[in-house]
Amino acid sequence: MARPLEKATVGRPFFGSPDRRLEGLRPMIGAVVGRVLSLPRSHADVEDGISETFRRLVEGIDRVRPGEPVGPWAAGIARHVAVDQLRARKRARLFDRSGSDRDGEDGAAFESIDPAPGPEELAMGAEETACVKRALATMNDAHRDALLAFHVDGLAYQEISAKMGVPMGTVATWISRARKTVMLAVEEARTDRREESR
Amino acid sequence: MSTPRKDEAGLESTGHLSEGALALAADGRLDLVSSDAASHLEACEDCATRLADQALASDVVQRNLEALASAPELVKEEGSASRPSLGRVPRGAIAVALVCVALASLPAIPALLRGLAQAPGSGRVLVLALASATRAAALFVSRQDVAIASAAFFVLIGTVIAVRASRAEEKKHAVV
Repeated sequence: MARPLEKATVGRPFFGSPDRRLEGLRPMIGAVVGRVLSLPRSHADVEDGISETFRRLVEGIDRVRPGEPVGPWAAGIARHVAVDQLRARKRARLFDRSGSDRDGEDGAAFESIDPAPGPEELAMGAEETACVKRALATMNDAHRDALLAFHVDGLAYQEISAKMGVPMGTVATWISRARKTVMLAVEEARTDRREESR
Repeated sequence: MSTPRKDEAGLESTGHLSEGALALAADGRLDLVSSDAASHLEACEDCATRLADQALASDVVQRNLEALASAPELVKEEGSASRPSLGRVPRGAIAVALVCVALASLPAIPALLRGLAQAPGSGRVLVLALASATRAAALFVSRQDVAIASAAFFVLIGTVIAVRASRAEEKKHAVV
């Protein structure tokens, strides 16, 4: 049964009007934030991350293109929020260790880091994309069709199930396996890249 | 079409969430997961970790598929991206080029025929024919440059068109 967003965020303040597309995302967001922070989902930092993620989701939901799946987008935002939290923790630890409050100098140094991807990151992104293309070419046809129907055509699970004539659980399993195949290829590319840069 | 059954996306025999249930939860479709599985997910840290991995993978896949769809030039398959395949040979351009070659060599044909007709005896026919053919060839050679140039021009245009068409086609189907 669908859970209303207000219910899912009970215990933490929730600002903005809930959107139907954001319903049911809380467990995933909690899991992603907890995973990135390496903390149990009940930890206060994870709860903070969940709240911040929902704040950004509500703010940006209107920018989601029609047909674009909300899940991956929300997962990406949750990951960003958690990474920001990690950076903030690291920064706080550094200040604690130095024992001084040199906010002016050190703070400026942290803020001056350009968050835009550099040439190396862009090249890595292109390599990763090439790997994804190769992985798509080699994977099972049904898995690929289901994956593309979800991520590219923006079809819902029920629609893919009807289109392919298979139960929805099977569609979900195919999509999951296709993602694993893609991730294996991406991980291989990342490992190769790391070894090359050594 | 088979009707989707809700219990297919639920718990495995191990008591943890099935792969399909995790995919649905990762995409925010908890409403399609059995209530047992949803309750289990709230308590099980192992399943939460698997869920996070699935969701993060979903994000990576989405970003890469978007990149593929919007910028196929990022991905150069080994030697195949810019090379027209056999199915994309510019047949039209080659045909036009061959017609140009034939037209350019037309003036040489009457000279050849005239030479053959003026041959006095059957004994010397072969020699005269060869001489006429040589003269005709010489005439042909004088126009050969034009013929070759026009053929090369049309072949070049045909190749450019074919390459552009194949690139446009690849852009269209970049994802697949």
